[in-house]
Amino acid sequence: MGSQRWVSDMQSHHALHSRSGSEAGEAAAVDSIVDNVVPLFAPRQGSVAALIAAASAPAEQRELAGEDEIRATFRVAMLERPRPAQRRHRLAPLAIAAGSVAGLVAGTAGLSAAAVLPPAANHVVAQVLRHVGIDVTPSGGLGTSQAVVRSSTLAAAATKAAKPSKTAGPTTPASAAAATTPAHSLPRTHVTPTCEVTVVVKPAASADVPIPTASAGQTSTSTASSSVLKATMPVSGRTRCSVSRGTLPTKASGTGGSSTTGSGSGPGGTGSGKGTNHGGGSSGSGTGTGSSGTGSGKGTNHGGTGSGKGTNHGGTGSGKGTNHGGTGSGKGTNHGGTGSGKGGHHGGHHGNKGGQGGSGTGSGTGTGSGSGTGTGTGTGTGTGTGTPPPTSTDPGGTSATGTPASASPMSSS
Amino acid sequence: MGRIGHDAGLSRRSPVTMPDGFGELLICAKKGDEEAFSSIWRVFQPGLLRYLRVIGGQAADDIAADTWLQVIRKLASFTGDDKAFRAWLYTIARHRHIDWRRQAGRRKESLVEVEVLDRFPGTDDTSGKFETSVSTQSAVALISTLPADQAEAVMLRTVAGLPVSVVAEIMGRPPGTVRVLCHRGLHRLARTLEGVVPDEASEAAALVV
Repeated sequence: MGSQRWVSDMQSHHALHSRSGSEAGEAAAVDSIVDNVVPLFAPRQGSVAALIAAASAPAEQRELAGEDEIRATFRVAMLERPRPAQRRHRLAPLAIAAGSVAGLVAGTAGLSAAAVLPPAANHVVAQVLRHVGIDVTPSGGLGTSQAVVRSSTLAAAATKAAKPSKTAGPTTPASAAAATTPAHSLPRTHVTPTCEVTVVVKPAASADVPIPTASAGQTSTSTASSSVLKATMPVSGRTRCSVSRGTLPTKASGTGGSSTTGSGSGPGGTGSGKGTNHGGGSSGSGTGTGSSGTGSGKGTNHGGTGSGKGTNHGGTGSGKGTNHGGTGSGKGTNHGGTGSGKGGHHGGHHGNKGGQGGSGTGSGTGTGSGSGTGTGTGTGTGTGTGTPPPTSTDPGGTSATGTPASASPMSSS
Repeated sequence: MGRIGHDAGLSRRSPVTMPDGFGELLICAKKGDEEAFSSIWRVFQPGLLRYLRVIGGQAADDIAADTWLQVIRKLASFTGDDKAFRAWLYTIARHRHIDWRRQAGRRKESLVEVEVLDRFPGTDDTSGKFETSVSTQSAVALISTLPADQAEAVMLRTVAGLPVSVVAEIMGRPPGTVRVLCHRGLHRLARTLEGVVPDEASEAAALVV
């Protein structure tokens, strides 16, 4: 009878099961089966209900016999739990990300400062980094080697300028006050910092070394071994203090100074020697790079007059090298301007595409903007030490003529 | 010894009684409170051990120890209430049991064939013992006589008190299969208690009809 009753009950459960349809209804139906199984068998002797109840009985003593062992295991596990490791693990991705960003910025700045990047890329990188407070000097100089020290903020420049200086120069009360004032509280418009520049010219044994001429605000001393020119000049806007080292060119001449002159100064800055001169509004000589000014010798000249080896962009160039958009002479390539001498000439009226070794006589109308209007406001003055040439032998260099830039200090970019 | 009267089984009892404040106990245990962890262990250990006795036989104690070791290791990462903890605990136990079976297979133990054991029937009658003295141990032993999947489903569903969905997840079976396994297991237990050994054919017929 019991069996028949069981089958009958199960039939009803299964019917309920099939009727339910949805999963929820099915679950409820089958759960009701299990829940009703215990009372279903309850009246019987030795029923399943008693069996389940016995299996679910409270804990027996022997079942809890291992409590001491498990407590000991728990104690040991808690002591050996590596909490700091998890913390390190959590911070590791942040550290890696921060390091990557710092490395990328530093690497890009380094590449830009070292002039490894192409000039156009260099310029872009410099612009981008300037926005984040990092100043790099985009330098495309040929054979230039430079160490540029800059102060990216006016306050820092003012603090530097306020250092005691032996040179005569207008150290304003404002700059002195800036030295004792926190940088972040300095009023920018009230500070007129100064920058001290020392130029040392060490000639070769056989060289005839002219003594640098001191102008207003400068002191010039000359010894048997070197000539030293010191100058203190005011700066305004974004200050750029560049210190360049190198050797004076063996083939160099140009407008704005003789080949052995490694100095210069003036409003807006003048660059000389190997290195990079940005914002120079006057003239430059020696080996270097001049932007918006006049450059001569080795290096790169942007927007001014260049001569000697190197690359001249937008100005008047002569000597070996490449002249873009200006007037060029001598060996090299002249694009879009007036070129003469060996090399390829593109864009001139009488273009000479002779290429290698060709004697080009091309002369064109260069559109080089050799105006040399200094765009920088810093007094970027280089300290060039090098050996001047006994004589200037660069055919291109000696013939280079450029328009000296008219210095026009302007506000900081 | 856990003897119970017949009327004691009329209502379905919870296999384990979880005291209030399990969440606080769990937080304290996570922080390393030994007493809190011991309280949790005392609540869950009996049911776990009985479940493992059914599916793991004599190795139940070892598997239970491995299970609790794993719980201790992973306790910091566990979140949930007592129901979630119960499901988690039995899931770990089942995995440990599977591992134990694999290792036992690699140990090349000399297993005795079932046919051989049939030639040496035991002198004690489990069903008879249950008739006279229903103890927890004998109840678990009787459930152990069920086919493995039925016994496991019955233990998880009725003794551990887990819902069908959780049992299905632990066993890796569909919920419907779990329900059928429970059904068949209880049916077989009823027949066993009546002294009738059901054959699969009649059982299947009863279910179909």
